[in-house]
Amino acid sequence: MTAAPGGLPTVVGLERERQVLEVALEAGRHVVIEGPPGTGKSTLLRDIARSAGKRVIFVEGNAELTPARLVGQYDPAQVLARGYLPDSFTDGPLLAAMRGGALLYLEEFNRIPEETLNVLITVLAEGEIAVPRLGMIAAGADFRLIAAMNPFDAIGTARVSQAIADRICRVVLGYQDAAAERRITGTATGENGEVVDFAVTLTRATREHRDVRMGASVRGAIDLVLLLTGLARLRGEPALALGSARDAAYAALSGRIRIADGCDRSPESVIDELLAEAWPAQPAPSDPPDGAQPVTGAGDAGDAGDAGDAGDAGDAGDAGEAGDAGDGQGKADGLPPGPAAGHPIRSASASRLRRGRGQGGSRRTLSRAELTARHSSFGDVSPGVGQLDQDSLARLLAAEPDAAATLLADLALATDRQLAAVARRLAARVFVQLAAVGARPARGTRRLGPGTVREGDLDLDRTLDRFSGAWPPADAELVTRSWRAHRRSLCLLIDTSGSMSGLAVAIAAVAAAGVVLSADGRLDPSVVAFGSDVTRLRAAGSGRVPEDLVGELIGLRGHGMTDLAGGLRAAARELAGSHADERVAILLSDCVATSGDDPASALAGIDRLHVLCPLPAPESERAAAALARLGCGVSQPVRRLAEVAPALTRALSRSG
Amino acid sequence: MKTRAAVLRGTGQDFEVTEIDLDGPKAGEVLIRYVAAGLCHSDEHLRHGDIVPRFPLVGGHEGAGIIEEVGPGVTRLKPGDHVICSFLPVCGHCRWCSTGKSNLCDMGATILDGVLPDGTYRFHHNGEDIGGMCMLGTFSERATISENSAVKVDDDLPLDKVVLIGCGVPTGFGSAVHAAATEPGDTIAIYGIGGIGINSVQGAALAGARNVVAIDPLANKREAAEQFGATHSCETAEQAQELITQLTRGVGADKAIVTVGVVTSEVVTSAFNAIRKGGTVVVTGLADPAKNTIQISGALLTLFEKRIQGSLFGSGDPFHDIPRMVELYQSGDLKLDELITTTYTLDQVNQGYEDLIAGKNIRGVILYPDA
Repeated sequence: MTAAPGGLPTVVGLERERQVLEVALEAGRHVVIEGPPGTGKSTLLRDIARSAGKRVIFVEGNAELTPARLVGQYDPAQVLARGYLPDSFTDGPLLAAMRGGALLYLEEFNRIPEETLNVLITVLAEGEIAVPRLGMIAAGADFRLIAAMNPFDAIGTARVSQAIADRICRVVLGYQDAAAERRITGTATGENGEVVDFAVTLTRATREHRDVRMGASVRGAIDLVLLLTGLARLRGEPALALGSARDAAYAALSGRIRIADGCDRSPESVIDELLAEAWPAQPAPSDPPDGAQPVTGAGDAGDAGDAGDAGDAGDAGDAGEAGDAGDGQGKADGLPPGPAAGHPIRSASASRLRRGRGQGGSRRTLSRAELTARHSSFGDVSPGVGQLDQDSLARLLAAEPDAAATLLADLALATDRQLAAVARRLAARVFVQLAAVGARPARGTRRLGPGTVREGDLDLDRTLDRFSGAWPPADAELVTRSWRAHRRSLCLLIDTSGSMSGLAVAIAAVAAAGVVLSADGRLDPSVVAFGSDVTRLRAAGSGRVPEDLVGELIGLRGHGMTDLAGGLRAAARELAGSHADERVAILLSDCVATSGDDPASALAGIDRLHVLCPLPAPESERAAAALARLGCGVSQPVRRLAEVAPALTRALSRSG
Repeated sequence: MKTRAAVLRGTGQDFEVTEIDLDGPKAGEVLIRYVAAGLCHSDEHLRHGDIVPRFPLVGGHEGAGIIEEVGPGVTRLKPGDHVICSFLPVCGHCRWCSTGKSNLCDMGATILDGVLPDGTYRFHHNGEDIGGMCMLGTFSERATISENSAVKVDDDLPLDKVVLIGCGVPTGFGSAVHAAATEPGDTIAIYGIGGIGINSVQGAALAGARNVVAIDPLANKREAAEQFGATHSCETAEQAQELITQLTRGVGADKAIVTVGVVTSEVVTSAFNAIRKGGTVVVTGLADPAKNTIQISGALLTLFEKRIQGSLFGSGDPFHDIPRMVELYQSGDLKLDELITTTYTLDQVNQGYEDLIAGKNIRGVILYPDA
């Protein structure tokens, strides 16, 4: 919060947004304000409400916000005693705001369960709401809804449905510019000069760093200034000292930044790297002796012009991350071995076939000559042995995501070990990110349902049905409504037979990461690869993280026959181990069986089979549709990487 | 210039790691910086006295590295090229080279003196000429070698792995594929699973042998053999004889390959008895040249038309076989990474040979720090 002591209006640098917001509200529109934390959403709103002389009712959005808690509810004791009388109804924040013509401010809008949000649809559209047993309530003329949400917030959030989004204006707040943030920080802390400049520079740098998904807000800068000046006083340091700066930065920033998915750096290592850059060049060497580490960092970052390049240097500097091409054989030895790293599961299948021959295809690596022939962009992405130009790859990803993903999947199998190692790390990250930005089908797996567990809100209607009239009511007579998970177990079945390479591998990797990440990881799916035989990549309950899973998946080379029935039976075995209301398998395959039984005979133990058909030929599409029909599921073609997440979402939301 | 190298000064002595002088390349020669060197049994033969070379000698004949400088007239290589060294030079136009037997190139005559083709030495110490094992001397940070000893390979290959294609892998592989001419359906017996034998196992399996019987007294070697494609493994020659009799309905193995550390008449006799009529015993292992290590019944040789075939460098052509094996490695068919049990620094060379004698390693490799 940027509210200064004394309640001074401190909305800094948000004039245009403020005007839009004021006009929208005046015109009777409802608004959602979107922006990362610390961009002044609450401050701006309070400020507008105060100047307009309006009352604001605040509601904190979270997963426990039920419709009853938002709308209001009958007092159970009074209903049991006297029946449904309007007097017994206690208004929730929504009714209070509607009746009083106030501003209803819903914070963390996208954390509110969909069922609760749906209550708002008629309010937004018609300005009224029908409350069971209470009647129609109309909103006062001045009633407005203002929602606030942080689009970066991935945990516990879901997308706001189109029905809501279509009835609401959207104002996006970005971070203020550096000057505004310096003013905010200065005002909030009462400090100025070098320390504020430093804190704002460092804080802003966390937002640009390539390994960081979400950087620190201006609140981080404020805390940094307060901690840094406090430490300097306590330690009697006249000027900024690097040791204290690091202590303060760790405390003020490390908890505020979120490292990108698939990147195994600590926030502290990112801060160290940024500190080396942001640290003002001081003539007097007042650094304490423990300045050694950032000094090295400075050396790394010295020739790196912008923050993006500095990310590179930092990677190379990290322990065990010798991705830099300039590093030689000595360091390369510390890396995991390139081709066919002996993962337990893989080596088990290798020893089953005692003969190495015939398995050559599963160990094949790609020479630079072969990669050059396959990919026109290979020379740009890897200009030399052991080199991977991440910027060039990023450009390719932006321009031609499928070509880039295909290249990346092939690079992971390069003969060039340094290149392959970097590509694998990067591929795990890129594919997991691609899966993470896709839809998160968190909705649909939880419903408000009646039950006799003693938690949640009292379900008055059902309780009254059972109520014998004796006070107090017996435990068995109380019915509550609480969120109940529709328990579903899921197995992703990946066909690795035939010529699975390039884009098909990338699609499989994104799908695998997608199912693991879906529903905030609550689905905990198993993942099985099959060709002529079966490899379990992830067991349900194993907690195997998507990066690790994807890392193994992109090391798989397709070969052999397709035993669809064998794969389906393996999926059924995986699913059998869990208690679930529904056992769902998602099959990623062209569905053309070349060995084994008729797949239709192997659907036992799978309640619902959805099929994703990668890069389909007409014949495959027909086979996939037929198989999905038999499995009570849907069949969808996947022709591009971008189609993976929507297809998964559709498949997952069909169940239950 | 100076280079650090492991020098052997006489039979029964340890390698002495010391700094010596190195001359730059003359006509037809190149200066190589080694990246890796394999610890092969042949160097141990010199130290042990089974084979006596000219001393002093820089050890090591299995190497891979990067060319730093080329002498006048060198046309096949340029500075920066990555190469695998061939432990036998190939001149390309002697009788043997020109008839597809370049492993027998006449230039190989002086590999135990370690003198270069012009008859002079490039390693020196205190005025004394020092040879390089097989004209290479890979137990040295740098060496000056003939361009006939270096096969260029792609830059993206891991030299610390493909170094094994300089001697051990083609010798073992070729013993099964070229010398024994393994055919699909054959039963192949391989005596001694070391750095050579294990690659004979790979070669025989890749060539389509129905049964690959690996014979070694050490359990770790037998397990390794099964990992690399052996279908059966035995502890002793007697057990192998019995097994092979069963597997072939009394006919005998089609071919036997002798890859033990020091060849004795005992093991050759066992191999000779294990093969069928018209079968072949390939003798790849070495022994003291002064000893008779083959004593067999000439009558059986005659009446059963059995053959005994010696094999040097797998009886292949190095400039053809080395690139081919690199490709087999890339295609995933030939295993190299799994062959390397332990890596050493140059200073640990004697430790490396102790481990080799103790049977701890499938293969040990010396890695040089980056220049």
